[in-house]
Amino acid sequence: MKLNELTLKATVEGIKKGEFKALDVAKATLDEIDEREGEIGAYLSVNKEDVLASAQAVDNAIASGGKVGDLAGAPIALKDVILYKGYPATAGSKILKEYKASYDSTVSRKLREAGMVMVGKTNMDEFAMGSSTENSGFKLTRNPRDLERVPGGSSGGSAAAVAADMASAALGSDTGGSIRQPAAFCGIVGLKTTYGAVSRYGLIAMASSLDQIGPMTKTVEDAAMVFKVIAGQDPLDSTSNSKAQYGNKILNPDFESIKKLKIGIPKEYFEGGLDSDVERSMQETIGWFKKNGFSVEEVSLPNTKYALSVYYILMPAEASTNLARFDGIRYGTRLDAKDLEELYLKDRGEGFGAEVKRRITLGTFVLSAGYYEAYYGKAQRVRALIKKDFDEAFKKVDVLLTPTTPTVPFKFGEKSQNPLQMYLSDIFTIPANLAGIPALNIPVKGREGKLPVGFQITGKAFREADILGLGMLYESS
Amino acid sequence: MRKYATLARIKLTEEEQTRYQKDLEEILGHVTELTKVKTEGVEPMTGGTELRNVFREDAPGEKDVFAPAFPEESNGHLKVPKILDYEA
Repeated sequence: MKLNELTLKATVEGIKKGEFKALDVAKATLDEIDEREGEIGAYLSVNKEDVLASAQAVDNAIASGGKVGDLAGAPIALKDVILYKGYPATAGSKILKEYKASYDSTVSRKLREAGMVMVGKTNMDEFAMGSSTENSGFKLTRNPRDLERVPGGSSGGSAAAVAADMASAALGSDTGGSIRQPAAFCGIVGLKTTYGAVSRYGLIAMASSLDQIGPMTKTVEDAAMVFKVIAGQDPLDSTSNSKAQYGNKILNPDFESIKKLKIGIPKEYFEGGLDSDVERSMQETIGWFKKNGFSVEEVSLPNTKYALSVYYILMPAEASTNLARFDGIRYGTRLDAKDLEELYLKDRGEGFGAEVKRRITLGTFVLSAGYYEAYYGKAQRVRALIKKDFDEAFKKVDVLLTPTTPTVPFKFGEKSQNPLQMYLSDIFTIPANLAGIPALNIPVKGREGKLPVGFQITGKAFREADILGLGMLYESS
Repeated sequence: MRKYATLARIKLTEEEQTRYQKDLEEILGHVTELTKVKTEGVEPMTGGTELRNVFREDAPGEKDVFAPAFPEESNGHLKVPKILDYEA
C-alpha cells in the first residue's frame, strides 16, 4: 500500500511512531497528484514547495523531540471557499480569480496548529451553489469512481481529492448537502456539523443561517479526528456555540452505549423517487442495524416534504445579501467603467456565473417589498415547523437513518440544463441544515466496483458523538 | 427580471434574461406549494441559532492586512471610481 492511500489515523500514527516520515507521505501525495490530477481535476491550486516544507517542519519537530499535534503530517485539502493566508480563495468564481486570502480562517489556523500539511485548495461549484461541481468558474472535476460522472457538489473537489488518495482528508462546507452529497457520490465519509459547532470565521459565506464547515474523510474515525480539532466556540464567529465541547470519547466511543441508541426511519424519505440501487442498499443497511441488535422504528417528519421549497427561498435570499460584497471594489478584478454604478453592473454581470446570477436575482425578488412576507416570511415559518418535526422525532429516537441522495452519481450534463432537477439532488440533505443538526454520510459497504451509495445518520444538536460512534461501529464490523 | 437584476446590480444579456426568467418561473411555481401549509401562530425561525446578543472585546487586530488584496489602492487606502459627476 502506498503511503498516500493510508487513512488519516494510520498516517498520523505511523509518523508519530517513526515508521515513516511526513515528507514521505507528502511526496507520495504529490506523486499521486502528478499522476491523476490531470484526469480528475480536484484542485484549483497546489503549492508543492509549501507542501514539502511543511512536511519537513513536522519531521524536524519530531526529530528534535518537540511536541506535535493530533494531525501531525496529515495531508489535508481545503475547499476553495475557506481562507488560508497567502493562498488563492476563489470560491470557484471568476470574480475572485486574482484574490489571495489576507488572513487565516479559524479552521485553517486550528488544523495548522494540529500539524496538518496543507495540500491545496479544491474545486467547487461557484460560491458553493450546485450539486455537481459543474458550476465551477474554472473547470470540471471528475468522479474518481467513474470518470464519466460528476463528483457531486458543491464540495466536489474535496470529495474527489480524498477518494483518489490525493489527500488523506479535506474540509468542505455544507449549506444544503454540499459535504454529504459529494461524499456519497465519491464513496467517502462526510460530516455536516451542528450549526454553531465549528467556527466559520474565514469561510466565504453563502447562506449564513445554514452554512457549516465539516470534514470529508476516508473513514468515520478520521472524520472524528478532524472534527475534534476544528470544533469549538470562537470569539470571531458569534454564531459559534459554547455547547460545542467534545472530549476524547468522540474518538473512542463506548460501543456498548452506542448499541443502545434508538434508530428512527422517517417514512417520508422512502416514499418513491429512490433509485433501485439506493433503495436496495438502504434495505440492506437497515437490515444490518436490526441484525446487530439495534432498536429500529418508523417515525414521521410530515413537513420535510416542504424542505426544498423553504430552502430555495431562504438560501437565495441570504446569498443575495452575502454576495453584495463582491462589487468589484474591494476584491479581485476591477473592470473599466465610467462610474461606480456601471462598475457594479459590469463587474458582477461578467464575474458571476449563471447559477449565481440566478440565485441572487431570485433572492432579491423574494426579499423585495410586496413579496417579502409571502415568500421569505412564509418560508421562515415553515422552517420552524420542519425543526419542530425533528424535535418531536428526537423525543422517541436518538438518531435518524435515511438515504443521503435519491440517486447514484449522474453523468455530466444530465441535470445542468434544468436547475430544479439539480436542486432535487439535495432533497434528503437540506432538512438537517434547516434544523441546524448534525448529519453524517457513510458509504454503504460491499459496493466495490459499483457506483457508490451513501446512507445518512442524522443526530441531535451537538450530539456528533452519537452519529460518529454509530458510524465507527458500522465500519469496524 | 430586468428590475430585480438591476436592483442586485447585475447586468444581464437579453439571452440571459429570457433564460433566467423561465428558470425563476419554474422555481417559484414549485415553491408556491408552501401556501398549502398552515402557519397561523407559528413564530418564524429567523436564523440558525438560539443565541442572542453575543459580545466580544472590540480589540484592534493586525494592521495593513487587507490593502494588498485591493484591486486599486493609494497609500494603503482603497481607491474607487468617482461617485459624483460635477464641474468645479
